[in-house]
Amino acid sequence: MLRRGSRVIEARGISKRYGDLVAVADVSFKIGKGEIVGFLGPNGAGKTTTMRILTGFMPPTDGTAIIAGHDIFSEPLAARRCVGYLPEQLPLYLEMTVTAYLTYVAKIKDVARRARAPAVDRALERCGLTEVRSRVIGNLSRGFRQRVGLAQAIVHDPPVLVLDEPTLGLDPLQVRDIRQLIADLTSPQDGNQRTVILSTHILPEVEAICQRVILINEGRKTVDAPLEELTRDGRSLEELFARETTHDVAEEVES
Amino acid sequence: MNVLLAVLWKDLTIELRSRDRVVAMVVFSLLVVMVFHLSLPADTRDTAPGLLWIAYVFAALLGLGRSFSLELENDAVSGIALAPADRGWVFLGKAAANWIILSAVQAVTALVFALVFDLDLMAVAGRLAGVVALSSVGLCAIGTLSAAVAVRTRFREVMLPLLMLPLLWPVLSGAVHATRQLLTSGSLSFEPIQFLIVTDGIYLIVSFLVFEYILDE
Repeated sequence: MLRRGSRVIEARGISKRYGDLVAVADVSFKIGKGEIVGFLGPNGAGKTTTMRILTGFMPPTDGTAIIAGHDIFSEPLAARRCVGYLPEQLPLYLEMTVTAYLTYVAKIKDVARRARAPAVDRALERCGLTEVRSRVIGNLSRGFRQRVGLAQAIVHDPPVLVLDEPTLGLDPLQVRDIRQLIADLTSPQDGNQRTVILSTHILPEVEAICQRVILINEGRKTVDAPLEELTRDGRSLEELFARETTHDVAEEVES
Repeated sequence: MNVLLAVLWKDLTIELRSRDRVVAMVVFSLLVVMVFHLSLPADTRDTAPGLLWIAYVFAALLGLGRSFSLELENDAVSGIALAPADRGWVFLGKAAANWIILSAVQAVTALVFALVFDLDLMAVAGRLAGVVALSSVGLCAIGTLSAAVAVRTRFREVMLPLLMLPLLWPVLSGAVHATRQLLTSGSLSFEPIQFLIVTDGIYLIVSFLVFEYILDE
């Protein structure tokens, strides 16, 4: 059982290379239980690669990660069981109904047969999908599909959630609802308080729900600090993002 | 095992709802049969086994290609890649779904083939179904694995037959040999069956072990 504040995610010198291309270079960080961490960086910075490594989707070239006490190399199955992942592109089968899809995800996530139906019902309720549970996913709006994506990430009740652009393409009301949902999933009132890594380009989203920011640029971690510290004295995340990422562009242009 | 059954159930549920793969495969294999009928002499008893298997392989190429593009279309592959189980079970689930879908197509194709080429398959129907089912295990094993590799390449439609057909040769030769025995003499020796069982076993084991690395890449 993990204590509140104890480490749930630990990246230890993660690197990923594709031939000569270095996608992620020696990235290390620790995230405690119940934290919501904003994972920032320009396009192609290595955010998605890092998240895919943490979820066990792909192995790193060097380094390792510990997820809820399980090493992704020595205990890959236990580590995968502890992670819920919402990729940028929703991993949905448009021909299936919402309930059939979530039941399928519960099965492949190894939820016990007896616990499956209650787990699906709980995910449907938490994500506000009860009314559309019998609808075919292909007939749902973008907002509801996003909710189905979140529901598949939490259906097996994982202690760690990795969310890649969870509000991409949503209207302002849907964005508000999804943000509230993410905040609820980590609220201390919830019986199973989750740790969340949230990757997004929408900086106000990070300011609204995250407690800490990790910024990655060109595969390297450049910032890792509490949001409060970064926005002290009225500074904005936008300024920080611009400062940490645009000088590289200027250097590139010069060279 | 849970993952195998879940992936099998999911693939069949999607196919039952859309029916796009089965319809395309049946129509295509029947077209192939009709082309053979129009272009070959009436007495084709000697070549019939080969023609039947050509129709089956063409249908399989069409259906197997779709098997993994379904997973990549919405990045659903991340869902199966994160299953807390050996990824070989995902392969077996997909191969089993492909085998069931292909079997349905093969049954329809065989009926039409018998009618068009005036073959009496009723006397050997049970044994022929057994030979086709056994051969299709190897066909689906190597086809599913090839589809998983080809789907991530730029020329996936070209890559699938290029990868699959050379590897399929042993299964295909055993299948045609056994089918010829049945259609010409009405009897079946154990050698081709033994050969098919061994080939199926090798293909299944190798594919199960290799699939983990294919999904990683």
